Amino acid sequence: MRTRGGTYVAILVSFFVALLLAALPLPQILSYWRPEWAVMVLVFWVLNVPGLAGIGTGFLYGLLVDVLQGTPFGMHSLSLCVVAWAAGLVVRRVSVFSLWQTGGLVLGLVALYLGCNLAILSFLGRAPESLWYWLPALTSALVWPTVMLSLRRYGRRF
Amino acid sequence: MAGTAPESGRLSFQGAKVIETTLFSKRKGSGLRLIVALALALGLLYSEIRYPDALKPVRLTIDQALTPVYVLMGVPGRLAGWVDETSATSTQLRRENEYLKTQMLVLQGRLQKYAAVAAENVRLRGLMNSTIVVDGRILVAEIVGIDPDPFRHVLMLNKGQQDGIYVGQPVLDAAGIMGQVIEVGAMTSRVLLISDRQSAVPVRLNSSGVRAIASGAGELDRLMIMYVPPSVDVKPGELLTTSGLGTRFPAGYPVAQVTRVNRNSSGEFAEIWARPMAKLDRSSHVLFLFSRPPQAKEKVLVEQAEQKEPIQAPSPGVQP
Repeated sequence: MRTRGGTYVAILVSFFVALLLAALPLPQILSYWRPEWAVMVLVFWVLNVPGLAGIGTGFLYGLLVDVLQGTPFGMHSLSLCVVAWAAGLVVRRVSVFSLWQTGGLVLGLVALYLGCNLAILSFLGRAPESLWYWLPALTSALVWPTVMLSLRRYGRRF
Repeated sequence: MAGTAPESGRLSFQGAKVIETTLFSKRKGSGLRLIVALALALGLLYSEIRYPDALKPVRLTIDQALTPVYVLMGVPGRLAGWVDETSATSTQLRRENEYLKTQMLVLQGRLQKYAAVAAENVRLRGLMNSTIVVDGRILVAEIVGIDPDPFRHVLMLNKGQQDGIYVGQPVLDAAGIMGQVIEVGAMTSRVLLISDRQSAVPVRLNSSGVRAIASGAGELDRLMIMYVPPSVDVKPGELLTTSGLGTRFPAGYPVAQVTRVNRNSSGEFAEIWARPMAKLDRSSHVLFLFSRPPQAKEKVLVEQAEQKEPIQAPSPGVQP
């Protein structure tokens, strides 16, 4: 599975599964805790195969997320681009990080993503007031090891 | 570079070069690419807000490409329904059957009266040259998704453009108004619930006929009733129906029931809260209401008065 083709397939399948997990209906209370699967999968690929996944991937993937969630076209594109760019900045350092350190990194990146979304939403006058809005950053960091461990065999480590 | 150890110097230089090509090559120009991507995304956002119709075909195409996601999304719900159905005992089914038959008898009884009243209503409105249209065409749809964002109260339904759904169409369940269509895909549509903070429904107090606005508060079990003066006689338990103003929602459908009235609030208006009649978080099937466009004139009304009878009349073959 270390071939380029295999990695392509793994990237596409994981993006599809992340879309599904992000859109799956949940009860109201649980949905506050929903981790940001799309961000985590994108960050994983940017960190592990920087040659294949990057800002452009984030942009295209964001368009899909926008259509699926009915948000203004370009909103998730913008925030996923920023996340992909930020993950690309630290890609060298991450190779010596432990699992929990990358968890902390994911916490920061998801918070960045939520911040970008919040900025756009408040510009459109649709910003949520509650602080629960930031909860996905925490839950994403907590479930990050499962993403990492299930995708690791498909990523090429440098 | 000293000339004493050219070998080792060149070696380390080459090593650095190798690392640079494999590790750092993609970092070059990432800032530029970010700027280009951000400009593109901002351009998209701007055009979406400024010219909402321009990007619709693109959206619709992507929406169609995402059909497998929509199909798989509905699987857990359908699975639960299937398990529910197959695990029901015959006693349960018989009891349910009994209950449904009684329910139907009661409803048909009411319907007989309603058919006559509706026909009379249409005739009277025709006499008054009123353009309010009472239309009965309804389409049943299934909820296939809930907006993943807990701060938005938006449902996804399994009917779309192919079924004639349009933006602004009212959606009901058995008990009352649920919301309105805000986005139509090829085979799906999104409905903004009346409890969303962006939603407002023109309503009327059922007893006094005073007009108000039922505004969503971001909570599924209560709506804010705005612009009611403190002098108006309103008690908890009173029904609010759609007023038909604004032409989005047809008049006369139940919206909410008043739960709390506070006349001592500092504002100019009374502070009133109401509970939505529709089961916003529990319905699994909903109804799309097809109301005619407002420019439809009396001719249509007369046609409808004739159409009404066969549609509304209970079928004679059904016996409890």
